[in-house]
This record gives sequence, structure tokens and C-alpha cells, in this order.
Amino acid sequence: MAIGKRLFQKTKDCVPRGAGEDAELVAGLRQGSEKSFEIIVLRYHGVVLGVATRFLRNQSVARDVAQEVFLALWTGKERFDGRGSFRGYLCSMTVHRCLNLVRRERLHREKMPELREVEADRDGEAELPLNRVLSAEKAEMLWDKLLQLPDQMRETLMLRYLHDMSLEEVATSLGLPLGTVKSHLSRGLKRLYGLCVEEGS
Amino acid sequence: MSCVSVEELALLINRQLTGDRVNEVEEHLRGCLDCRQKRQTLLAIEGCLSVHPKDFVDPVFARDILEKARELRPPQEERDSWSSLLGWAGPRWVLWPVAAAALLVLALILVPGKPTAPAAGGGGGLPDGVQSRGSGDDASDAWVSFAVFRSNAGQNVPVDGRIRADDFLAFSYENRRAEAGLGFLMIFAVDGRGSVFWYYPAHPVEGENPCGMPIQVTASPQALSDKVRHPLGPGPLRLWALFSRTRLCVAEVEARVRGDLARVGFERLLRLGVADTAQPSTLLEVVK
Repeated sequence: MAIGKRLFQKTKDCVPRGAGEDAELVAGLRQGSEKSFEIIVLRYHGVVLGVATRFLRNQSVARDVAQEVFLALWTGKERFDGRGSFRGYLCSMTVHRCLNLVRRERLHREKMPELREVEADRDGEAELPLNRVLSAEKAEMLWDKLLQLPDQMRETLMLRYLHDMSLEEVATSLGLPLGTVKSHLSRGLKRLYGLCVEEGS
Repeated sequence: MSCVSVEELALLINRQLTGDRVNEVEEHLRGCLDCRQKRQTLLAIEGCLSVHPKDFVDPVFARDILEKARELRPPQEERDSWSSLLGWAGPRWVLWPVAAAALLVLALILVPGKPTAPAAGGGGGLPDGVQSRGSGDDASDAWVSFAVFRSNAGQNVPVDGRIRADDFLAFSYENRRAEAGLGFLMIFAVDGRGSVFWYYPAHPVEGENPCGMPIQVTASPQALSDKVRHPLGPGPLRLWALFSRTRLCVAEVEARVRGDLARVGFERLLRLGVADTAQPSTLLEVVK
């Protein structure tokens, strides 16, 4: 029985007609098309919410940030300039906003030390094994560093890890040879590794 | 052999090294603490960055964004409104379930890889299925997932967020990263009243204390053969797949679940306080 096949048929029926590629959607968005905006939200709210949740470790704040990202797109406060992929742009925008939020919060905390306790109770995240390896501060630096990588390298890492794509899919999506993508991945991870080691020493 | 470069280790953990070089590097890693630490740091970086967008798909949230957007800017012409998007001329509220379904199916397309449905009649290796990934914040959750299927009348159907109280449930799992060391699995559910229902290991006699089952490292979905039905009541039900490094048993996990439930309540219980585990979970609604 081909369950997957049958569902795929359903999928085709459910995808709004004219739901095109990202470039088409972005063009529609610029013209104020609600249709384009809806498809963008349906298509990408998972990744935006995922990145914000992973970064902020607090679901309700992450939802606020994700909503802000989409509304900034809708109101024209943020515009995709066509460089790189729209997926990568959305991720960068989300990470930027998370970084700004965390920095603002830190400033606020420095002024109000009693708020520090709140941070320690972030959904029990502090107890997780890998977060013992990468502290919240280090993770923040990692995201920051990610944004500073050269365009193609950054996009490769974002599509690989934030969009959960295979390297072959990343290569197709960016229109790059697989070998180049592998090189961007390994060199990008090396740079992030350098940050962790440098900061840790 | 001299130490392995970070770039090469990055390729190794992304399964991009080939041929004899893989064996050479792995052999070196066995005897070199420095390189093992390098690999561990790279895995931590990957874990920190890894997101499964599908885990965060939330139709209600998407609807909220669209509602807010509408408040910010009135719709343009009718032909370009949310409703006309689907060619619908009736009441708008009818569109939301359709939008939710479209969202779910879109997510299935966007996330690569399909799990295998467990065999309807027992045994694995069956037809294509659809994954119901859970959410989770543990970095090691990035390398595991599980899928839930309703198993009725000899067929396994992917769960779409809702099950009937009399459904038999079947499962499949993925455990993609050997380095994560997650060798055991337990699957259980908690309902809105705080009752705990065990699927793996299922045990008919209350008071028994069976332990998690050993699992293999597998990049493709592995079907579990048992179909289990519990006397569920209508309402919310959160299903957990608890992947652990050590073999946990029912009593200790259940005690932790009850403690966490008492502390934060059902609604807020998204992670269990069990160390060194990956905990994807998924929220379902049980209907009569």
C-alpha cells in the first residue's frame, strides 16, 4: 500500500494554485499580495520558529520573535534584496532579532540583577548535556559568528542545519557543485570551532 | 597517523568521508583523546545549530500571524484576499481547517526523508509512511525522531494530530548518529489527567518494571512491530519517545513524569527531567 503516494496526491490538491518558487513569492510580497504572504508563512513559519526557539530556549519569546519577523516582512519594514536565498535571509533575519533581543535583555539584567534568576529557569535547558559543552553565552557567540561568515558559507551552514537539508539538497538549492558545498561546510564548521576553542581557552 | 584536521572531522560527522579514509580516521580517533575532543566540540556545534523545521510547524501560530497581518494592513481587492486564495466564496472560518491541512502536508514535503510504516500485520519493512515528528529542545534530539501510525483493520495510517480512543498505535524510529550513544528507547504517553500509558515496553500487569528496549543506529526509519491500544479518554495526549544512553526502566521514568507533572502541569510539560536523553514528543488529540 502506498500511503506516502496517496498523501502526496492530497498534498498537490492542498497547495494553493500558483504557489510558486520563492522568487515569485517575494515579488508578490513586494506588491502587497496576501496570497504570497500566506504561502510564505505556511511554508516557513516552522523554520523561523525553530531557529528562534533553538536560540532563545524559551518558546513564548520565540513565538514573539517569529511573529515579528513575518510582520516586518509584511509591512515592508524588512525587504529581501535578492542576494542569496530567501530561506537563508529569513534565518539571518531571525538570528539578528534574537541576538538583539538577548543583548537588550542582558543590558536590562545588568541594571536589574534580581532578574538573573529568571534566566536560570529556562525550561530546564541548563541541565542538558550538550549545553554543558556549549554554554548559553557561547551558543550566542556561535550564532553571531554564523552571521558573519562569507555569504555562501553562511548559507550552506544555514540550509544544512537550520533547514535540515542534505548536502545534495543544499547544492541544488544554491546552484553550487557538491564539492564546493562540502568545502563550505567543513571550512565553516572549522571557523565556528575556532571560535569555541578560542573563547574556551 | 598524525592528528585529523577539523575540516576532515567535519566531513566525517557529515558522512562525507569515503573509502579507507573513514577507517583510518576512526582508528586514529580511538587512540587520540585530542581528536575525540575536537569531534565532540564539532558535534556540540552541530547540535546547537540543528533545527528540524517540521517540529515547529504550528497551524494555530500561522493563523495568528495571518490575523495580525490583516489587522496591520487591510486586505487589498477581494480577488487577492486570504479567502480567494483557495477559490472559496463561503464563510472564512471554514478555510482554517483547510489551511491547517495544507500546512501539515506542505511540511511533509519540505522535510526530506520518509519513515517506514510498521507492518500492519507485524514485522517491519513496509510501505512508505508519514512522520509525526515530536518537538524537543535537547540538542541530541536533532539525531532522532519517531513516527506514529494508527493501526486499524490491517492498515497503518500516519497519525495526523488526532487519534480515536480505540485506535491501535504503531511506531517507527530513526536514530541517526552513533556518536550520540543513544542505545535504548521507551515510548509512552501522558494524557491531560496525568495518566501514563506505556507503549514500549508495553506491560499488561500493573506494577511490573520492564526496561527500555535496545535499538540500533539507523539512518532510515525502523519499524516497531507491536501494535498497542490503551483505554484512552478523549482529550489531549502527549506521546514521548525517550531515547537514552543507559537502560532506563518504567518505574524510574514514571516517577519522574509524575514529579514533573506535579511541578509544571500537563500543558507546560514539554521536556522530562531525565538526563542524557533525547525526547522528541508529539501532541495528539484523542477523540471518541
